[in-house]
Amino acid sequence: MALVARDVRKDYPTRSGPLPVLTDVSLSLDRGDALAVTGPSGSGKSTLLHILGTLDAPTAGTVELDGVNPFALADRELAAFRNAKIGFVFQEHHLLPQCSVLENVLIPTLVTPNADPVKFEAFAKDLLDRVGLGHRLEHRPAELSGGERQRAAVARALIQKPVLLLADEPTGNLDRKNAAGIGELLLDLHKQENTILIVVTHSSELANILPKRMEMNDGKLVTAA
Amino acid sequence: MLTLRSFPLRNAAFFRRGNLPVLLGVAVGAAVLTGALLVGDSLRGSLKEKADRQLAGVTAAWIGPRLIRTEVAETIGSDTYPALLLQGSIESVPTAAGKLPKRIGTVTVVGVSSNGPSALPSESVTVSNRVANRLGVDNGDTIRIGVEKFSAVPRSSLLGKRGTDDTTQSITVKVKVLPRETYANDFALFPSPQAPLNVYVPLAILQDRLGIPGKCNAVLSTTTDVPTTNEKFAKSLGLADWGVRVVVPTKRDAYVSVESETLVLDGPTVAAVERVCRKLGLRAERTLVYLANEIAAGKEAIPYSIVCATNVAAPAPLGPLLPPGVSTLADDEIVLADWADSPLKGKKPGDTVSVTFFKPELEAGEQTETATFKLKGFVPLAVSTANPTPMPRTRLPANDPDLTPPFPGITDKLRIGDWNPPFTFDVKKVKPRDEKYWDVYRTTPKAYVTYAAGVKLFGSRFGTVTSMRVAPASEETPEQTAEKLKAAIRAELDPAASGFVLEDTHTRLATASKGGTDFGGLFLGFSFFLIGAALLLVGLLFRLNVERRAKQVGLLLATGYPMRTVRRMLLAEGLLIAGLGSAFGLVFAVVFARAMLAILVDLWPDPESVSFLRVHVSLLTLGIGFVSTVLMALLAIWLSLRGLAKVPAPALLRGETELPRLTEPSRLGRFALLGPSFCFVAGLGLLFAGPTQSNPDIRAMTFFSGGGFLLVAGLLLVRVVLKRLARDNTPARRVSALSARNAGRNMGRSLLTVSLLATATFLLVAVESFRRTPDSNFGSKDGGSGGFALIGESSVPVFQPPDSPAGLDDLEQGLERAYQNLPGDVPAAKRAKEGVDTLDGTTIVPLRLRGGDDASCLNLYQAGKPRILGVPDKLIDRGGFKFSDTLAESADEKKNPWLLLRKPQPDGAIPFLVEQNSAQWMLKIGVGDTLELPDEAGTNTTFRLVGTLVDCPFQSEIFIADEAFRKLYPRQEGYRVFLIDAHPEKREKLAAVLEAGFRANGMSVTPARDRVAAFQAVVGTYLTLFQVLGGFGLILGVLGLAVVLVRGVAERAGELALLRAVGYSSAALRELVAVETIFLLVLGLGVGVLAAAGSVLPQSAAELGGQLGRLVTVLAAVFLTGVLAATAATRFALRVPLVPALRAE
Repeated sequence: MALVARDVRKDYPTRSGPLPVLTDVSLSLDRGDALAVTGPSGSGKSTLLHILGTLDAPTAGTVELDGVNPFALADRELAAFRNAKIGFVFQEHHLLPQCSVLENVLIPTLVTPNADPVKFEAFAKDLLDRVGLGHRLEHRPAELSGGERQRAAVARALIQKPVLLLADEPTGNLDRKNAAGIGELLLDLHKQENTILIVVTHSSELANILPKRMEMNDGKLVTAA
Repeated sequence: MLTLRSFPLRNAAFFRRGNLPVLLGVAVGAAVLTGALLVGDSLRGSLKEKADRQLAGVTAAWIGPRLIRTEVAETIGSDTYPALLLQGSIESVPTAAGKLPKRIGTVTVVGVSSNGPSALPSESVTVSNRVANRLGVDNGDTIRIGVEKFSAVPRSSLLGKRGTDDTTQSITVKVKVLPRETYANDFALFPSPQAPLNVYVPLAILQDRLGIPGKCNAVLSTTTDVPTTNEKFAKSLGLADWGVRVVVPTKRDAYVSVESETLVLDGPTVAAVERVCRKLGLRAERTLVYLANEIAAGKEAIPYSIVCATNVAAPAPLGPLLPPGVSTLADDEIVLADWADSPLKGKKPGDTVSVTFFKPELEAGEQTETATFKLKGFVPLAVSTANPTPMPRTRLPANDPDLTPPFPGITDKLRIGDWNPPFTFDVKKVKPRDEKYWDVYRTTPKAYVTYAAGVKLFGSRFGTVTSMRVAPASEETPEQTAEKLKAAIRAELDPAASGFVLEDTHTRLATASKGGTDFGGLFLGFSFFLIGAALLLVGLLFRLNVERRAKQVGLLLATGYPMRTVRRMLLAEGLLIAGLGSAFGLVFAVVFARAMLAILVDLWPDPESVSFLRVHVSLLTLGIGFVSTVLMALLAIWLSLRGLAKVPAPALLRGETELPRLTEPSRLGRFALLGPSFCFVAGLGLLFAGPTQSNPDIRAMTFFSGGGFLLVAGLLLVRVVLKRLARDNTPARRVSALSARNAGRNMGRSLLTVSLLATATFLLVAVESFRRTPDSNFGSKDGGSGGFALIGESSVPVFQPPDSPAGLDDLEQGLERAYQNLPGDVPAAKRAKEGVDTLDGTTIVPLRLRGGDDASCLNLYQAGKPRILGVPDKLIDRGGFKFSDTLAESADEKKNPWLLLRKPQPDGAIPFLVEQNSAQWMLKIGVGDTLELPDEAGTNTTFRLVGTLVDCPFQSEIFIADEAFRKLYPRQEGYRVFLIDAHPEKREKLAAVLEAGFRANGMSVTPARDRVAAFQAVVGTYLTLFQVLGGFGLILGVLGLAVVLVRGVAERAGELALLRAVGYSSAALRELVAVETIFLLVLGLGVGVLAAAGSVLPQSAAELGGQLGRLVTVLAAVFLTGVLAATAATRFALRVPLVPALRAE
């Protein structure tokens, strides 16, 4: 399995003591798998996503991606690991307003060791073509619509051909039509790039187009009904 | 294309609106930091410029205590010139009757010939522009110049003339005035704070008026090769320039006599003659003659007789000078001349003979001494009484009037009764037999003692030999030997040992122009707050900028950017802004330096003396300023980013920039008030202890520390109050109460704000405690003035102290001359008598002064050779003055540290005292440390600091014992400084009387309090500068507070939006934000001001005077800036859109 999470537990310290957010979460996914995680607010969906994305460390349990326990790595190696293996799509697009669409997609490649800028640029253009923004390469984020911005963010998440593509409420800020489009796009690109796709969402429409669905409830991950 | 390298540039440009304030903050820091350094450059550059200007091309100079021939200078080379440089006084001669003349006490009279340095006027009597302005004279007006007359004979010796008329020369001339921009206006060879006051008189005219044709006392050179010029100088000197003559006395024509124009040969010359004689195999005898007032035995006495001390047993032709059959003479024995009418003729060997004489150094008044001897016998003067004046070479050795060197006014008179001696002379004592002896034997000694006995009785600091008598070589005539001796002695004399060395004035002034104080460092210190505040602002603004981009940072981290890379990118952006800001700030650095110099000149006690200060810009300083500012700004930025690194990426992606606080505010302990109480009590204790400290600086420090404790107490109390507010659960009844509680919510930030404001305010106000005026006990004996309310200083030495009988006569004569043209019917003589009567009940202590560099804080130059005062025993025994630190060990020394001046040092160093600020800042030494200073011949001598004085009116000088002074500087004769203890009601009149009576000496009398106040005003100037700059820093700090406030408001945007949603009016919200800010502002300023009030307790409202107004203005400006900042923050708060803010929340 490319992604294995075992007995992951996460507590947050609070003034009145540790607050458990995830309790013994286990998960195994392989390349090509696509999973939707749903659940009520505060159930721990985003926390799980951040742990799988190595942005946050579990209090207990292990995570392995491509056979590597990222939390055993030093900060610098962890960053390089994340850069190479994981792509993120957030509810907010987080595009840099000072950069063009193409530059935004290329942002992760700037810190890739021995990167070939020409190859990356060609791939970025290809990705942007695939997300329908081939004609907006030089545009600034402010010149794009909400849906276009999120599509650019999807392209950015895939620029390193990650093993794991994580999407945190990717359609949360979009209207129904744009949301459907982004969902389709994520699924298509995931298939094309043979990644593991995990989408955290409140949207049942989005969850329903993914082949696997699980639900977070009180910190526990269970198969969706 | 975007790369990692170009990313920061892109960011800097894109976020320019946010970066601009950061850039401006850096620019302020760079301007202030570099500007402060430029002040140092400007001081050094201006002093260097002034030095070059004031030297008028002169690169080397010799100024001697003796006159030399002008040919000496002329033969050195075409770039070297003879000159007369004299200290003197000058007064205008009003044309209108009844109009009083204006007078200047300290002028330099410069006499140069037409082929002298081209920059110096030599064709007509010319006064500098500054002199003309002070005297109110113009071209063609008449002035009277008073200078010291030269005297070959030491004034302090028996035969030296000391009266005012004998020692000063008045020259009345018509003058021209130098145009304003002429170098000669500023001509001066020494580093001095005072603007020079010069009068140029053609050399020939000055020589003529002073009766010294062909002589000069200075050699000026514009050479570029000082060592070679010195070699030439040494070669061109002749024996005459040492005042040495080699003669064959004609009366006996049997030996060679080496004599001095000064009557006494100095030690180095005697040693040289003896070395020469040894080399040539010649016999030489030291001879010392002296005038005894009386030689008596029993009831018989002989008045005014020469006594000779030499090797009386020397073989012919130098002796023997013993009675027939006697071969030795003991030190307590005397031989009398055997002359026909001698009243002592009947005395027998073994009888007691007394010799009464004036002590050889007479400055402090004539003191008579008597020595007794046993009569050894009589030495014959003549072979037969029928022919008492035989032909030369047939005379007996004792019949030799040439044993006494010639002295005009005595040896050239035909009768004793015609003598015109400078000492008390009772002509009635002279009997016909004495005149008969004078007629036949002239200056032939009437008594002989051993040389050792003579040295003991008649030796002085000027020497112990009046002639070296040398026996001619065998087969040589005395004339032939004399010729050989002349060349050999000249070759043996060391010009350097006699002080004949041209000093490299250019190098000396260049060294001095580095400045006594590091002004760059000083102004950097003054600007500390301003720079600190600017950097704080830079850090805060940059952090604010970055916080607004927190989500970007979060994204970069999420996409695999290491935090280090992100931080580097942000630092690179900061570097770019810091570089641009620093470069921009450099432009304003020059403006800042100019402003600082303008303020310095404006506040300086004597603005004219620092009016030469101009801005000088050095590329090195600009570079240092640029790099330092960039580095400091980067440090501030790095510090501001430190916290951000700890925030996890998910939080950053949510826009959060701080870690959530997870701990409950700690409960107020039972002992919460213990800390503030302890500090409060300690502060009060120090404030009560302050008045018991006698040293004003320690007292100021005690008050300052007391205030410091109060400040800490206040801040600890604020902490308690803020904690209470944070924990307060009582429902707020008013919006303002909610504001106060908000202040307690973010306690760290609030406390930091209050602490910064309070500390800055405290320092600004509390430094006032270091501003000084003379103490209340300043006038007492143990106060700063030592009980001497007035200080007199003359430019020409006074040889007869004003409170001695001879000095009073001088004063009366001087007053009579001064009062000649006064309006009114009262005769000048009567007025003069009344003037002299003013001195009744007044104590005047005269001090010798060796000129040098002003070592006071008024001198911006570095004082290399401070002025030296010789303290007489009278003052040492009296004691008084206030001391800071001494090496006193015994109870007597502790009670009267002046005694240390007479305490021999183990290493032979000369003990000295100096004012504590001069020691610390100008000489940069502490008690126990040593200084090397040259003696009269230029040989370095070690001086040890044995004590420091406080509030002393003499900051420019060091004090040594008079005895040591006379040994080191034997030709520094007379007194130039006078400590005057007079009744308060008489002081004003007394000062006027002394100035008028000794106007020929250029006497100037000033209150001791004024002198000290002038020195203290310099400290005051620095304090004011500190306060002005600190005030700006505080204002900048308040702007920082505004940034913090905006940040706080931004963090609470949702909360404020909620309040608006629930119906809070705009006014209520304004109140909420403004009251919180003003609450912190008032706390900070209040605690600072209250604590500082303790520090300035010892100063009366009158003393604070003008400072109070300025401080209130600064603090008001700070408060106003704070209020404006609060208003701006409020506006910002109200501008935040309601719905998005609520949604974000």
